[in-house]
Amino acid sequence: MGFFRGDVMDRHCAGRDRSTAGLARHGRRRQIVLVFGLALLLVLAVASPAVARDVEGCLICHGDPDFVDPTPNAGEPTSLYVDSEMFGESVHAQQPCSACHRGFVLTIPQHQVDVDKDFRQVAIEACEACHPDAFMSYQTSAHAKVYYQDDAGPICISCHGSHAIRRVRLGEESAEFKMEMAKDSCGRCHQDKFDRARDEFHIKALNLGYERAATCFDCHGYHENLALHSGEPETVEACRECHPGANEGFTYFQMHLEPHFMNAWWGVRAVYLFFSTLLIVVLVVGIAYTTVHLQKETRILLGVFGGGLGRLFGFIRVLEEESRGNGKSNNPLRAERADQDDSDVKDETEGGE
Amino acid sequence: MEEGKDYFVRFNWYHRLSHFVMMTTFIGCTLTGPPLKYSYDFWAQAMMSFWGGVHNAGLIHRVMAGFMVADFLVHALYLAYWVVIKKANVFGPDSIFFRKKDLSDLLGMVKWFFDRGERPRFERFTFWEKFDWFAVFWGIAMIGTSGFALWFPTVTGQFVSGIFLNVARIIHGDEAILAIGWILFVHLYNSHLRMNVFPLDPVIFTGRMPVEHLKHDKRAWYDRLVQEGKIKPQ
Repeated sequence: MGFFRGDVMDRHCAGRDRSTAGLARHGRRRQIVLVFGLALLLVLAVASPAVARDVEGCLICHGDPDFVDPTPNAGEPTSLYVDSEMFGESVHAQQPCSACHRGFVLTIPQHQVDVDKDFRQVAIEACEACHPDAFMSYQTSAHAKVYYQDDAGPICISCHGSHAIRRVRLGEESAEFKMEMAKDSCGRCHQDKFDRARDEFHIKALNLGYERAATCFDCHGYHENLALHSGEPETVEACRECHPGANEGFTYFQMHLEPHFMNAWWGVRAVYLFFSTLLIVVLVVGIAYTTVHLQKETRILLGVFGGGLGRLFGFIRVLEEESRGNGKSNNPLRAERADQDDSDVKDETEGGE
Repeated sequence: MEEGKDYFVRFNWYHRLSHFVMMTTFIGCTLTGPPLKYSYDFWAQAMMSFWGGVHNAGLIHRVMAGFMVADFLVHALYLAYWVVIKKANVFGPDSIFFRKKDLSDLLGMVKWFFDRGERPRFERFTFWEKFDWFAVFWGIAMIGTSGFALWFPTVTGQFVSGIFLNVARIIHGDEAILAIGWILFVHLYNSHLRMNVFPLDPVIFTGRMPVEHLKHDKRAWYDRLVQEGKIKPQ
Protein backbone atom coordinates (compact mmCIF):
# COMPACT_ATOMS: atom_id res chain seq x y z
CA MET A 1 0.00 0.00 0.00
CA GLY A 2 2.87 2.31 0.84
CA PHE A 3 4.28 1.73 -2.60
CA PHE A 4 1.25 3.21 -4.28
CA ARG A 5 1.22 6.26 -2.11
CA GLY A 6 4.96 6.85 -2.83
CA ASP A 7 4.34 6.32 -6.50
CA VAL A 8 1.74 9.07 -6.54
CA MET A 9 4.01 11.38 -4.54
CA ASP A 10 6.93 10.84 -6.91
CA ARG A 11 4.82 11.74 -9.87
CA HIS A 12 3.48 14.74 -8.05
CA CYS A 13 6.97 16.04 -7.30
CA ALA A 14 8.22 15.38 -10.78
CA GLY A 15 5.34 17.40 -12.17
CA ARG A 16 6.52 20.58 -10.40
CA ASP A 17 9.21 21.31 -12.93
CA ARG A 18 6.87 21.10 -15.86
CA SER A 19 5.31 23.94 -17.87
CA THR A 20 1.84 25.33 -17.00
CA ALA A 21 0.18 23.52 -19.90
CA GLY A 22 1.93 20.35 -18.87
CA LEU A 23 0.77 20.93 -15.32
CA ALA A 24 -2.89 21.00 -16.29
CA ARG A 25 -2.52 17.78 -18.25
CA HIS A 26 -0.46 16.28 -15.51
CA GLY A 27 -3.09 17.32 -12.95
CA ARG A 28 -5.71 15.23 -14.68
CA ARG A 29 -3.35 12.30 -14.89
CA ARG A 30 -2.59 12.70 -11.22
CA GLN A 31 -6.30 12.61 -10.45
CA ILE A 32 -6.71 9.38 -12.38
CA VAL A 33 -3.76 7.80 -10.61
CA LEU A 34 -5.15 8.97 -7.27
CA VAL A 35 -8.60 7.59 -7.94
CA PHE A 36 -7.12 4.25 -9.03
CA GLY A 37 -4.84 4.21 -6.05
CA LEU A 38 -7.71 4.89 -3.64
CA ALA A 39 -9.89 2.28 -5.30
CA LEU A 40 -7.09 -0.25 -4.99
CA LEU A 41 -6.62 0.67 -1.33
CA LEU A 42 -10.34 0.18 -0.72
CA VAL A 43 -10.34 -3.20 -2.46
CA LEU A 44 -7.32 -4.30 -0.46
CA ALA A 45 -8.91 -3.11 2.79
CA VAL A 46 -12.13 -5.02 2.10
CA ALA A 47 -10.51 -8.15 0.71
CA SER A 48 -7.79 -8.44 3.33
CA PRO A 49 -8.52 -10.90 6.13
CA ALA A 50 -9.91 -9.45 9.33
CA VAL A 51 -7.17 -9.08 11.88
CA ALA A 52 -7.76 -9.21 15.62
CA ARG A 53 -7.29 -5.97 17.51
CA ASP A 54 -4.39 -7.16 19.58
CA VAL A 55 -3.96 -4.16 21.92
CA GLU A 56 -2.20 -6.24 24.55
CA GLY A 57 0.23 -7.88 22.20
CA CYS A 58 -0.75 -11.42 23.23
CA LEU A 59 -0.73 -12.57 19.64
CA ILE A 60 2.95 -11.72 19.29
CA CYS A 61 3.55 -15.10 20.89
CA HIS A 62 0.14 -16.78 20.69
CA GLY A 63 -0.18 -15.96 17.02
CA ASP A 64 2.67 -18.36 16.27
CA PRO A 65 1.31 -21.75 15.13
CA ASP A 66 4.27 -23.52 16.77
CA PHE A 67 3.74 -21.88 20.16
CA VAL A 68 3.32 -24.64 22.76
CA ASP A 69 3.31 -24.98 26.52
CA PRO A 70 6.97 -25.69 27.30
CA THR A 71 6.23 -27.25 30.73
CA PRO A 72 7.55 -30.81 30.54
CA ASN A 73 4.20 -32.56 30.88
CA ALA A 74 3.47 -36.12 29.98
CA GLY A 75 2.37 -36.68 26.44
CA GLU A 76 2.02 -34.17 23.60
CA PRO A 77 2.81 -30.53 24.42
CA THR A 78 -0.34 -28.38 24.58
CA SER A 79 -0.66 -25.89 21.75
CA LEU A 80 -1.15 -22.31 22.89
CA TYR A 81 -1.72 -21.02 19.37
CA VAL A 82 -4.67 -18.71 18.59
CA ASP A 83 -5.47 -18.24 14.92
CA SER A 84 -5.61 -14.46 14.69
CA GLU A 85 -7.50 -14.53 11.40
CA MET A 86 -10.19 -16.80 12.85
CA PHE A 87 -10.42 -14.67 15.99
CA GLY A 88 -10.56 -11.54 13.86
CA GLU A 89 -13.72 -12.84 12.20
CA SER A 90 -15.36 -13.78 15.48
CA VAL A 91 -17.94 -11.69 17.27
CA HIS A 92 -15.37 -10.88 19.99
CA ALA A 93 -12.74 -9.56 17.58
CA GLN A 94 -12.87 -6.10 19.12
CA GLN A 95 -12.41 -7.38 22.68
CA PRO A 96 -8.97 -7.49 24.27
CA CYS A 97 -7.83 -10.97 25.35
CA SER A 98 -8.04 -10.05 29.01
CA ALA A 99 -11.76 -9.36 28.72
CA CYS A 100 -12.30 -13.10 28.87
CA HIS A 101 -8.96 -14.35 30.20
CA ARG A 102 -9.57 -12.67 33.52
CA GLY A 103 -7.18 -12.95 36.43
CA PHE A 104 -4.16 -13.24 34.21
CA VAL A 105 -1.36 -10.80 34.82
CA LEU A 106 0.76 -9.54 32.01
CA THR A 107 4.20 -10.92 32.69
CA ILE A 108 6.69 -12.36 30.30
CA PRO A 109 6.77 -15.28 30.20
CA GLN A 110 3.07 -15.44 31.03
CA HIS A 111 2.45 -18.15 33.56
CA GLN A 112 0.22 -16.47 36.09
CA VAL A 113 -2.71 -18.84 36.50
CA ASP A 114 -5.14 -18.55 39.35
CA VAL A 115 -4.52 -21.97 40.86
CA ASP A 116 -7.53 -21.74 43.19
CA LYS A 117 -9.94 -21.79 40.29
CA ASP A 118 -9.95 -24.42 37.65
CA PHE A 119 -10.11 -23.60 33.99
CA ARG A 120 -13.83 -24.38 33.61
CA GLN A 121 -14.81 -22.06 36.41
CA VAL A 122 -12.76 -19.21 34.97
CA ALA A 123 -14.31 -19.82 31.58
CA ILE A 124 -17.85 -19.74 32.94
CA GLU A 125 -17.21 -16.55 34.89
CA ALA A 126 -15.72 -14.90 31.84
CA CYS A 127 -18.92 -15.40 29.86
CA GLU A 128 -21.19 -14.54 32.77
CA ALA A 129 -19.54 -11.11 33.16
CA CYS A 130 -20.97 -9.86 29.87
CA HIS A 131 -23.89 -12.27 29.31
CA PRO A 132 -25.68 -12.50 32.68
CA ASP A 133 -29.11 -13.33 31.18
CA ALA A 134 -27.82 -16.21 29.12
CA PHE A 135 -25.96 -17.44 32.16
CA MET A 136 -29.11 -17.32 34.29
CA SER A 137 -30.97 -19.40 31.70
CA TYR A 138 -28.09 -21.84 31.56
CA GLN A 139 -28.20 -22.31 35.33
CA THR A 140 -31.71 -23.79 35.12
CA SER A 141 -30.69 -26.26 32.42
CA ALA A 142 -29.88 -29.94 32.59
CA HIS A 143 -26.42 -29.02 31.33
CA ALA A 144 -25.74 -26.82 34.40
CA LYS A 145 -27.09 -29.50 36.72
CA VAL A 146 -24.44 -31.94 35.56
CA TYR A 147 -21.80 -29.24 35.78
CA TYR A 148 -22.60 -28.22 39.33
CA GLN A 149 -23.11 -31.77 40.62
CA ASP A 150 -20.28 -33.63 39.00
CA ASP A 151 -18.09 -30.85 37.60
CA ALA A 152 -18.69 -32.50 34.24
CA GLY A 153 -21.01 -31.71 31.39
CA PRO A 154 -21.05 -28.80 29.04
CA ILE A 155 -20.25 -25.20 29.95
CA CYS A 156 -20.64 -22.17 27.62
CA ILE A 157 -17.58 -22.89 25.53
CA SER A 158 -18.49 -26.55 25.06
CA CYS A 159 -21.22 -25.48 22.63
CA HIS A 160 -20.16 -22.00 21.57
CA GLY A 161 -16.44 -22.60 21.17
CA SER A 162 -14.00 -19.97 22.37
CA HIS A 163 -11.94 -18.00 19.86
CA ALA A 164 -14.17 -18.47 16.82
CA ILE A 165 -17.64 -17.56 18.13
CA ARG A 166 -19.60 -16.33 15.16
CA ARG A 167 -21.73 -13.24 14.80
CA VAL A 168 -25.35 -14.38 14.62
CA ARG A 169 -28.54 -12.44 15.10
CA LEU A 170 -31.12 -14.36 17.13
CA GLY A 171 -34.07 -15.37 14.97
CA GLU A 172 -32.16 -14.65 11.78
CA GLU A 173 -29.87 -17.64 11.76
CA SER A 174 -29.12 -19.12 8.35
CA ALA A 175 -30.13 -22.70 7.58
CA GLU A 176 -26.44 -23.64 7.27
CA PHE A 177 -25.73 -22.28 10.74
CA LYS A 178 -28.71 -24.04 12.29
CA MET A 179 -27.72 -27.31 10.62
CA GLU A 180 -24.12 -26.91 11.72
CA MET A 181 -25.12 -26.19 15.32
CA ALA A 182 -27.38 -29.25 15.39
CA LYS A 183 -24.68 -31.47 13.97
CA ASP A 184 -21.53 -30.14 15.57
CA SER A 185 -22.67 -28.56 18.81
CA CYS A 186 -25.67 -30.59 19.96
CA GLY A 187 -24.87 -33.66 17.90
CA ARG A 188 -21.34 -33.90 19.27
CA CYS A 189 -22.74 -35.21 22.57
CA HIS A 190 -26.26 -36.16 21.49
CA GLN A 191 -25.28 -38.00 18.34
CA ASP A 192 -28.12 -40.52 18.63
CA LYS A 193 -30.74 -37.81 19.10
CA PHE A 194 -29.42 -35.86 16.13
CA ASP A 195 -29.28 -38.93 13.89
CA ARG A 196 -32.91 -39.71 14.70
CA ALA A 197 -34.10 -36.11 14.26
CA ARG A 198 -32.44 -36.13 10.84
CA ASP A 199 -35.16 -38.45 9.62
CA GLU A 200 -37.92 -35.99 10.47
CA PHE A 201 -39.16 -33.21 8.22
CA HIS A 202 -37.76 -30.32 10.30
CA ILE A 203 -34.11 -31.22 9.90
CA LYS A 204 -34.65 -32.54 6.38
CA ALA A 205 -36.07 -29.17 5.31
CA LEU A 206 -33.31 -27.35 7.16
CA ASN A 207 -30.76 -29.42 5.29
CA LEU A 208 -32.21 -28.12 2.02
CA GLY A 209 -31.81 -24.51 3.11
CA TYR A 210 -35.19 -23.81 4.70
CA GLU A 211 -34.10 -21.53 7.53
CA ARG A 212 -37.57 -21.38 9.10
CA ALA A 213 -37.43 -25.08 9.93
CA ALA A 214 -36.70 -25.77 13.58
CA THR A 215 -33.34 -27.07 14.69
CA CYS A 216 -32.50 -28.48 18.16
CA PHE A 217 -32.40 -25.16 19.99
CA ASP A 218 -35.63 -23.86 18.49
CA CYS A 219 -37.54 -26.43 20.56
CA HIS A 220 -35.16 -27.19 23.42
CA GLY A 221 -34.15 -23.57 24.00
CA TYR A 222 -30.82 -21.85 23.57
CA HIS A 223 -29.65 -22.09 27.15
CA GLU A 224 -32.49 -23.73 29.06
CA ASN A 225 -31.95 -27.02 27.21
CA LEU A 226 -35.32 -28.43 28.19
CA ALA A 227 -35.75 -32.18 28.03
CA LEU A 228 -39.26 -31.84 26.46
CA HIS A 229 -41.48 -34.85 27.14
CA SER A 230 -44.81 -35.47 25.41
CA GLY A 231 -47.82 -34.03 27.22
CA GLU A 232 -45.90 -31.58 29.41
CA PRO A 233 -46.80 -27.86 29.42
CA GLU A 234 -43.31 -26.71 28.45
CA THR A 235 -43.42 -29.02 25.43
CA VAL A 236 -46.73 -27.47 24.35
CA GLU A 237 -45.08 -24.05 24.70
CA ALA A 238 -42.10 -25.18 22.61
CA CYS A 239 -44.37 -26.46 19.79
CA ARG A 240 -46.45 -23.27 19.91
CA GLU A 241 -43.42 -21.19 18.95
CA CYS A 242 -44.07 -22.27 15.36
CA HIS A 243 -47.44 -24.06 15.56
CA PRO A 244 -49.70 -21.61 17.41
CA GLY A 245 -52.62 -24.04 17.57
CA ALA A 246 -50.64 -26.85 19.21
CA ASN A 247 -52.35 -28.58 22.10
CA GLU A 248 -51.32 -31.32 24.50
CA GLY A 249 -52.18 -34.12 22.08
CA PHE A 250 -49.98 -32.52 19.43
CA THR A 251 -46.90 -33.02 21.61
CA TYR A 252 -47.20 -36.80 21.28
CA PHE A 253 -45.56 -36.38 17.90
CA GLN A 254 -42.14 -38.05 18.20
CA MET A 255 -39.12 -36.24 16.84
CA HIS A 256 -36.46 -38.80 17.75
CA LEU A 257 -37.68 -42.19 16.55
CA GLU A 258 -35.13 -44.89 15.82
CA PRO A 259 -34.60 -46.22 12.31
CA HIS A 260 -37.44 -48.66 11.53
CA PHE A 261 -39.32 -47.08 14.45
CA MET A 262 -38.01 -49.66 16.91
CA ASN A 263 -38.57 -47.38 19.92
CA ALA A 264 -42.02 -46.22 18.79
CA TRP A 265 -45.53 -47.15 19.83
CA TRP A 266 -46.48 -50.55 18.35
CA GLY A 267 -49.10 -48.87 16.14
CA VAL A 268 -46.37 -46.97 14.30
CA ARG A 269 -44.37 -50.16 13.80
CA ALA A 270 -47.45 -52.01 12.55
CA VAL A 271 -48.25 -49.27 10.02
CA TYR A 272 -44.62 -49.16 8.91
CA LEU A 273 -44.50 -52.94 8.48
CA PHE A 274 -47.80 -53.04 6.59
CA PHE A 275 -47.01 -50.24 4.15
CA SER A 276 -43.42 -51.35 3.54
CA THR A 277 -44.64 -54.86 2.77
CA LEU A 278 -47.37 -53.52 0.51
CA LEU A 279 -44.86 -51.32 -1.30
CA ILE A 280 -42.50 -54.21 -1.96
CA VAL A 281 -45.14 -56.80 -2.87
CA VAL A 282 -47.10 -54.56 -5.25
CA LEU A 283 -44.02 -53.24 -7.04
CA VAL A 284 -42.43 -56.69 -7.33
CA VAL A 285 -45.63 -58.18 -8.77
CA GLY A 286 -46.10 -55.18 -11.10
CA ILE A 287 -42.55 -55.24 -12.37
CA ALA A 288 -42.56 -59.05 -12.76
CA TYR A 289 -45.79 -58.85 -14.79
CA THR A 290 -44.35 -56.10 -16.99
CA THR A 291 -41.15 -58.08 -17.51
CA VAL A 292 -42.90 -61.23 -18.74
CA HIS A 293 -45.13 -59.06 -20.92
CA LEU A 294 -42.01 -57.47 -22.39
CA GLN A 295 -40.38 -60.85 -23.11
CA LYS A 296 -43.48 -62.00 -24.99
CA GLU A 297 -43.61 -58.85 -27.09
CA THR A 298 -39.88 -58.97 -27.76
CA ARG A 299 -40.25 -62.53 -29.00
CA ILE A 300 -43.12 -61.48 -31.25
CA LEU A 301 -40.96 -58.68 -32.67
CA LEU A 302 -38.04 -61.04 -33.23
CA GLY A 303 -40.27 -63.86 -34.40
CA VAL A 304 -38.92 -66.41 -31.92
CA PHE A 305 -41.24 -69.22 -30.91
CA GLY A 306 -40.88 -72.72 -29.60
CA GLY A 307 -41.13 -74.63 -26.39
CA GLY A 308 -39.29 -74.60 -23.10
CA LEU A 309 -35.74 -73.40 -22.94
CA GLY A 310 -35.45 -73.45 -26.72
CA ARG A 311 -37.53 -70.31 -26.67
CA LEU A 312 -35.01 -68.56 -24.47
CA PHE A 313 -31.97 -69.81 -26.41
CA GLY A 314 -33.60 -68.99 -29.73
CA PHE A 315 -34.25 -65.54 -28.37
CA ILE A 316 -30.58 -65.09 -27.42
CA ARG A 317 -29.34 -66.55 -30.71
CA VAL A 318 -31.50 -64.20 -32.76
CA LEU A 319 -30.32 -61.21 -30.76
CA GLU A 320 -26.70 -62.30 -31.26
CA GLU A 321 -27.13 -62.67 -34.99
CA GLU A 322 -28.89 -59.34 -35.28
CA SER A 323 -26.05 -57.66 -33.39
CA ARG A 324 -23.62 -59.16 -35.92
CA GLY A 325 -25.59 -57.42 -38.62
CA ASN A 326 -27.02 -60.65 -40.02
CA GLY A 327 -30.70 -59.97 -40.31
CA LYS A 328 -31.59 -63.39 -41.80
CA SER A 329 -31.41 -66.14 -39.30
CA ASN A 330 -30.98 -69.83 -39.80
CA ASN A 331 -32.61 -70.41 -36.50
CA PRO A 332 -35.46 -72.91 -36.92
CA LEU A 333 -37.17 -71.33 -33.93
CA ARG A 334 -37.41 -68.08 -35.72
CA ALA A 335 -40.27 -67.76 -38.17
CA GLU A 336 -40.91 -64.94 -40.54
CA ARG A 337 -43.76 -62.83 -39.27
CA ALA A 338 -45.80 -63.08 -42.47
CA ASP A 339 -45.71 -66.88 -42.29
CA GLN A 340 -47.17 -66.98 -38.84
CA ASP A 341 -50.60 -68.43 -38.56
CA ASP A 342 -50.76 -67.69 -34.89
CA SER A 343 -53.60 -65.20 -34.80
CA ASP A 344 -52.52 -63.43 -31.63
CA VAL A 345 -49.11 -62.74 -33.14
CA LYS A 346 -50.76 -61.35 -36.21
CA ASP A 347 -52.95 -59.22 -34.04
CA GLU A 348 -50.02 -57.79 -32.21
CA THR A 349 -47.93 -56.98 -35.25
CA GLU A 350 -50.78 -55.59 -37.29
CA GLY A 351 -52.06 -53.61 -34.42
CA GLY A 352 -48.81 -51.69 -34.03
CA GLU A 353 -49.35 -48.33 -35.62
CA MET B 1 -55.05 -38.62 -37.25
CA GLU B 2 -54.51 -40.41 -40.51
CA GLU B 3 -56.84 -39.87 -43.42
CA GLY B 4 -59.09 -42.66 -44.60
CA LYS B 5 -59.05 -44.46 -41.30
CA ASP B 6 -61.97 -45.29 -39.07
CA TYR B 7 -61.79 -43.92 -35.56
CA PHE B 8 -63.93 -44.63 -32.57
CA VAL B 9 -64.40 -42.07 -29.78
CA ARG B 10 -63.45 -43.97 -26.69
CA PHE B 11 -63.10 -41.12 -24.18
CA ASN B 12 -65.31 -38.04 -23.94
CA TRP B 13 -64.00 -34.59 -23.02
CA TYR B 14 -64.54 -35.17 -19.31
CA HIS B 15 -62.49 -38.39 -19.29
CA ARG B 16 -59.66 -36.63 -21.11
CA LEU B 17 -59.68 -33.56 -18.88
CA SER B 18 -59.86 -35.70 -15.76
CA HIS B 19 -56.84 -37.75 -16.85
CA PHE B 20 -54.93 -34.62 -17.87
CA VAL B 21 -55.45 -33.00 -14.47
CA MET B 22 -54.52 -36.21 -12.67
CA MET B 23 -51.39 -36.59 -14.80
CA THR B 24 -50.11 -33.04 -14.44
CA THR B 25 -50.80 -32.81 -10.71
CA PHE B 26 -49.22 -36.22 -10.18
CA ILE B 27 -46.08 -35.11 -12.01
CA GLY B 28 -46.08 -31.85 -10.04
CA CYS B 29 -46.26 -33.67 -6.72
CA THR B 30 -43.68 -36.24 -7.85
CA LEU B 31 -41.15 -33.55 -8.72
CA THR B 32 -41.61 -31.48 -5.55
CA GLY B 33 -42.12 -34.12 -2.85
CA PRO B 34 -39.27 -36.65 -3.04
CA PRO B 35 -36.42 -34.11 -2.65
CA LEU B 36 -37.65 -33.51 0.90
CA LYS B 37 -38.01 -37.22 1.68
CA TYR B 38 -34.53 -37.91 0.30
CA SER B 39 -33.09 -34.65 1.65
CA TYR B 40 -29.59 -36.05 2.15
CA ASP B 41 -29.21 -37.61 -1.30
CA PHE B 42 -27.01 -35.81 -3.79
CA TRP B 43 -29.82 -34.92 -6.18
CA ALA B 44 -32.19 -33.49 -3.59
CA GLN B 45 -30.40 -30.15 -3.20
CA ALA B 46 -30.31 -29.54 -6.98
CA MET B 47 -33.96 -30.45 -7.38
CA MET B 48 -35.00 -28.15 -4.53
CA SER B 49 -32.92 -25.31 -5.98
CA PHE B 50 -34.75 -25.81 -9.26
CA TRP B 51 -38.02 -24.97 -7.52
CA GLY B 52 -36.44 -22.09 -5.65
CA GLY B 53 -36.23 -23.70 -2.24
CA VAL B 54 -38.28 -25.76 0.17
CA HIS B 55 -40.93 -23.07 0.61
CA ASN B 56 -41.76 -22.82 -3.09
CA ALA B 57 -41.64 -26.56 -3.64
CA GLY B 58 -44.02 -26.98 -0.71
CA LEU B 59 -46.37 -24.42 -2.18
CA ILE B 60 -46.38 -26.12 -5.58
CA HIS B 61 -46.87 -29.50 -3.91
CA ARG B 62 -49.93 -28.23 -2.01
CA VAL B 63 -51.49 -26.47 -5.01
CA MET B 64 -51.02 -29.61 -7.11
CA ALA B 65 -52.46 -31.76 -4.33
CA GLY B 66 -55.47 -29.44 -4.12
CA PHE B 67 -56.22 -29.81 -7.83
CA MET B 68 -55.68 -33.56 -7.67
CA VAL B 69 -58.15 -33.98 -4.81
CA ALA B 70 -60.63 -31.68 -6.60
CA ASP B 71 -60.28 -33.87 -9.71
CA PHE B 72 -60.92 -36.92 -7.56
CA LEU B 73 -64.00 -35.40 -5.93
CA VAL B 74 -65.48 -34.44 -9.31
CA HIS B 75 -64.87 -38.02 -10.44
CA ALA B 76 -66.66 -39.32 -7.35
CA LEU B 77 -69.67 -37.18 -8.30
CA TYR B 78 -69.44 -38.45 -11.88
CA LEU B 79 -69.50 -42.04 -10.65
CA ALA B 80 -72.39 -41.30 -8.31
CA TYR B 81 -74.29 -39.82 -11.27
CA TRP B 82 -73.81 -42.99 -13.32
CA VAL B 83 -74.50 -45.45 -10.55
CA VAL B 84 -77.31 -43.68 -8.66
CA ILE B 85 -79.13 -41.61 -11.27
CA LYS B 86 -78.44 -43.45 -14.55
CA LYS B 87 -78.55 -46.85 -12.77
CA ALA B 88 -75.60 -48.08 -14.81
CA ASN B 89 -74.74 -51.76 -14.59
CA VAL B 90 -71.76 -51.66 -12.24
CA PHE B 91 -70.58 -55.16 -13.15
CA GLY B 92 -71.51 -54.98 -16.80
CA PRO B 93 -69.05 -55.12 -19.72
CA ASP B 94 -68.89 -51.31 -20.01
CA SER B 95 -68.06 -50.84 -16.34
CA ILE B 96 -64.63 -49.91 -15.02
CA PHE B 97 -65.32 -51.81 -11.78
CA PHE B 98 -63.61 -55.16 -11.30
CA ARG B 99 -65.61 -58.27 -12.16
CA LYS B 100 -65.00 -62.02 -12.45
CA LYS B 101 -63.83 -61.85 -16.07
CA ASP B 102 -60.82 -59.73 -15.05
CA LEU B 103 -59.35 -62.61 -13.08
CA SER B 104 -59.67 -64.99 -16.03
CA ASP B 105 -58.26 -62.25 -18.31
CA LEU B 106 -55.23 -61.96 -16.03
CA LEU B 107 -54.68 -65.72 -16.12
CA GLY B 108 -55.23 -65.64 -19.89
CA MET B 109 -52.59 -62.92 -20.27
CA VAL B 110 -50.08 -64.92 -18.23
CA LYS B 111 -50.79 -67.99 -20.38
CA TRP B 112 -50.34 -65.88 -23.51
CA PHE B 113 -46.99 -64.56 -22.19
CA PHE B 114 -45.71 -68.14 -22.18
CA ASP B 115 -47.35 -69.20 -25.47
CA ARG B 116 -49.93 -71.30 -23.66
CA GLY B 117 -52.99 -69.71 -25.19
CA GLU B 118 -54.52 -66.86 -27.16
CA ARG B 119 -54.52 -63.29 -26.05
CA PRO B 120 -57.73 -62.72 -24.01
CA ARG B 121 -60.56 -60.89 -25.72
CA PHE B 122 -60.86 -57.78 -23.65
CA GLU B 123 -63.94 -55.72 -23.01
CA ARG B 124 -64.05 -51.93 -22.81
CA PHE B 125 -61.52 -51.79 -19.96
CA THR B 126 -58.65 -54.23 -19.56
CA PHE B 127 -57.80 -55.32 -16.04
CA TRP B 128 -54.61 -53.22 -15.95
CA GLU B 129 -56.63 -50.14 -16.91
CA LYS B 130 -59.08 -51.00 -14.17
CA PHE B 131 -56.27 -51.46 -11.69
CA ASP B 132 -54.75 -48.07 -12.55
CA TRP B 133 -58.15 -46.48 -12.05
CA PHE B 134 -58.71 -48.30 -8.77
CA ALA B 135 -55.21 -47.39 -7.55
CA VAL B 136 -56.16 -43.71 -7.70
CA PHE B 137 -58.85 -44.33 -5.07
CA TRP B 138 -56.40 -46.11 -2.80
CA GLY B 139 -53.76 -43.46 -3.42
CA ILE B 140 -56.04 -40.52 -2.74
CA ALA B 141 -57.39 -42.18 0.39
CA MET B 142 -53.90 -42.91 1.74
CA ILE B 143 -51.68 -40.13 0.38
CA GLY B 144 -54.41 -37.49 0.38
CA THR B 145 -55.58 -38.10 3.92
CA SER B 146 -52.08 -38.32 5.35
CA GLY B 147 -51.05 -35.30 3.30
CA PHE B 148 -53.83 -33.14 4.73
CA ALA B 149 -52.99 -34.40 8.22
CA LEU B 150 -49.40 -33.22 7.73
CA TRP B 151 -50.47 -29.98 6.04
CA PHE B 152 -52.56 -28.98 9.09
CA PRO B 153 -50.73 -30.67 11.95
CA THR B 154 -52.37 -28.71 14.76
CA VAL B 155 -55.84 -29.54 13.42
CA THR B 156 -54.78 -33.19 13.39
CA GLY B 157 -53.68 -32.72 16.98
CA GLN B 158 -57.21 -31.59 17.90
CA PHE B 159 -58.63 -34.96 16.90
CA VAL B 160 -55.92 -37.57 17.39
CA SER B 161 -52.64 -37.94 19.24
CA GLY B 162 -49.56 -36.34 17.68
CA ILE B 163 -48.07 -39.80 17.11
CA PHE B 164 -50.44 -40.05 14.13
CA LEU B 165 -48.33 -37.36 12.47
CA ASN B 166 -45.46 -39.85 12.55
CA VAL B 167 -47.85 -42.45 11.14
CA ALA B 168 -49.04 -40.02 8.46
CA ARG B 169 -45.46 -39.37 7.40
CA ILE B 170 -44.79 -43.09 6.96
CA ILE B 171 -47.98 -43.60 4.93
CA HIS B 172 -47.48 -40.49 2.80
CA GLY B 173 -43.91 -41.38 1.87
CA ASP B 174 -44.37 -45.13 1.33
CA GLU B 175 -47.54 -44.77 -0.70
CA ALA B 176 -45.99 -42.02 -2.79
CA ILE B 177 -43.06 -44.26 -3.67
CA LEU B 178 -45.50 -47.06 -4.47
CA ALA B 179 -47.53 -44.77 -6.74
CA ILE B 180 -44.46 -43.38 -8.50
CA GLY B 181 -43.00 -46.87 -8.94
CA TRP B 182 -46.26 -48.21 -10.31
CA ILE B 183 -46.66 -45.35 -12.77
CA LEU B 184 -43.04 -45.64 -13.93
CA PHE B 185 -42.80 -49.40 -14.31
CA VAL B 186 -46.34 -50.50 -15.12
CA HIS B 187 -48.52 -47.64 -16.33
CA LEU B 188 -45.85 -46.06 -18.55
CA TYR B 189 -44.99 -49.49 -19.96
CA ASN B 190 -48.62 -50.15 -20.84
CA SER B 191 -49.23 -46.77 -22.39
CA HIS B 192 -45.89 -46.18 -24.13
CA LEU B 193 -43.83 -49.32 -24.62
CA ARG B 194 -46.32 -52.01 -25.58
CA MET B 195 -45.77 -52.65 -29.27
CA ASN B 196 -49.41 -51.93 -30.01
CA VAL B 197 -49.02 -48.39 -28.74
CA PHE B 198 -45.30 -47.53 -28.99
CA PRO B 199 -44.19 -44.75 -28.66
CA LEU B 200 -47.39 -43.34 -27.15
CA ASP B 201 -51.04 -44.26 -26.99
CA PRO B 202 -52.72 -40.93 -27.75
CA VAL B 203 -56.25 -42.21 -27.05
CA ILE B 204 -56.41 -40.66 -23.57
CA PHE B 205 -55.59 -37.22 -25.02
CA THR B 206 -57.46 -37.34 -28.33
CA GLY B 207 -60.22 -39.67 -27.15
CA ARG B 208 -60.10 -41.36 -30.55
CA MET B 209 -58.91 -44.87 -31.22
CA PRO B 210 -58.38 -46.41 -34.69
CA VAL B 211 -61.01 -49.12 -35.11
CA GLU B 212 -58.30 -51.43 -36.45
CA HIS B 213 -56.37 -51.01 -33.21
CA LEU B 214 -59.55 -51.50 -31.21
CA LYS B 215 -60.18 -54.79 -33.01
CA HIS B 216 -56.80 -56.21 -31.98
CA ASP B 217 -56.62 -54.75 -28.51
CA LYS B 218 -60.18 -55.18 -27.21
CA ARG B 219 -61.79 -57.87 -29.32
CA ALA B 220 -64.86 -58.50 -27.17
CA TRP B 221 -65.73 -54.82 -27.10
CA TYR B 222 -65.16 -54.55 -30.84
CA ASP B 223 -67.51 -57.46 -31.51
CA ARG B 224 -70.15 -55.88 -29.27
CA LEU B 225 -69.81 -52.48 -30.96
CA VAL B 226 -70.13 -54.09 -34.40
CA GLN B 227 -73.21 -55.99 -33.22
CA GLU B 228 -74.73 -52.79 -31.85
CA GLY B 229 -73.97 -51.10 -35.17
CA LYS B 230 -71.79 -48.44 -33.58
CA ILE B 231 -68.78 -49.18 -35.78
CA LYS B 232 -68.28 -50.63 -39.22
CA PRO B 233 -66.56 -54.04 -39.18
CA GLN B 234 -62.99 -53.93 -40.44
